[in-house]
Amino acid sequence: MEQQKLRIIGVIAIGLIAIGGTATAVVLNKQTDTTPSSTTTTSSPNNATPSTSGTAYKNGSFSANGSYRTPGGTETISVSVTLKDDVITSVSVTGNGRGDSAEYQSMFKSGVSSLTVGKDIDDVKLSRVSGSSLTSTGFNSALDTIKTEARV
Amino acid sequence: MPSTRLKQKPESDLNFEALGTQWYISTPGTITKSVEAQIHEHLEVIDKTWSRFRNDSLVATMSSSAGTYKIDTRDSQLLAWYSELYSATNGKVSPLIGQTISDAGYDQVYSLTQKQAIHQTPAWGDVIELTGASLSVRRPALIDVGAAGKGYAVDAICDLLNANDIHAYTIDAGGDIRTKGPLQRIGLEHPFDATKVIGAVNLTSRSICGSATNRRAWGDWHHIIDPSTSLPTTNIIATWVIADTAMIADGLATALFFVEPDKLTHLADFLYVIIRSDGTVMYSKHKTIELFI
Repeated sequence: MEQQKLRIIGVIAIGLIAIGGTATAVVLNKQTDTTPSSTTTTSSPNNATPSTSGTAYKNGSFSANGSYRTPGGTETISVSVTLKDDVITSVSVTGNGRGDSAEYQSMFKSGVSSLTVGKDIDDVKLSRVSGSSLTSTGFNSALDTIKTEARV
Repeated sequence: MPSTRLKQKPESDLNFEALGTQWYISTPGTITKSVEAQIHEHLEVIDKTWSRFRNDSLVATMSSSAGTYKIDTRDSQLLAWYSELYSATNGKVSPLIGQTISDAGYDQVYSLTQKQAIHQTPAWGDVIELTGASLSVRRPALIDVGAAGKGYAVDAICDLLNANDIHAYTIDAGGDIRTKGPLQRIGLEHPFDATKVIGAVNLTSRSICGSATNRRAWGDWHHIIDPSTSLPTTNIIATWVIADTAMIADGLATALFFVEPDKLTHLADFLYVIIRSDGTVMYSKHKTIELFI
């Protein structure tokens, strides 16, 4: 699989909102979420079927266009995924990627991969997790307040 | 998303909040009430020295009054480490970013509202002089030790446990972790989904610290700001560094937002994982690191 083409699948496949200023969030059309303005998401009416109960997303094919900022400018990417019972069964990505990513790939040839969905925490035996979700409690609560106020 | 965190063992483990983050300390030994009290006391001293979120801290005093201030050995080690990071990153990792980040909205009251004018970050040599146990501030400046301060606090608690004959433990301060004793397997949280991990590392008596731009983010800003542009960095989403101490790992995790890993290798022995905003993951090829990608 071509790494270049897989670049922001992790973002899309998970369908979570990234709050950050660097990567634009792409949200699968989970009905309760609003879609960021820089993203368009469509579901194919031909094969979208009701999912079995208890899943977060509808079964079917979905595509989304997202844009994200890089030092070289804004890049856009189009991703199609097929979902069945919340599992991605196929993915394709097309993009106009340019910038410096190819350069970085050659520089770190032995140690470059593409970000993907990873594994569920529950499926991996771990002592602890290192990450940013609990980084700053004061900050997180302030942000939660703002998000609540901003909600329509 | 606290519900997605790992279940924690009860009993001798400690869970508490300090320095604006969640702490978790685990040991197969026993943490007595006395040691527990020392931990809280020590973190309070660190907070009272370095917090820019309170008015009675040393940092608050230095933000309004130039002068020479006595600091303890450990505090001068923190600034000495900052000085090394400052040189290696050509001034990008700077403790003088405080006013800039505060103007951007990450201020004492968490306004998350950008001021009209963003102060430029002054140069180290124009403001700070570090001589042994004293820190001179030539003109008032808001110091922010966010790039290495949490790791520094983790190391201080490690020393405190060692001094109390506790020789196996894991300390986790909001995802910045240092462990001593049996091997610990630490997950690398997916930057966009805290229920997932992109990999795991096996740690024995080392530290792992991470930094990411996706959480402490507001408006057009996040908490890692380039002093040369007074703008947030844009090309990296998350970094992790494994090093011997948490202060070193924490500082290098921030430095990797500004420079390539090979610009930092002279500072310490470390391993890294970097997620760039183009979705590529760069990492040290080493048996300690396993990536699920």
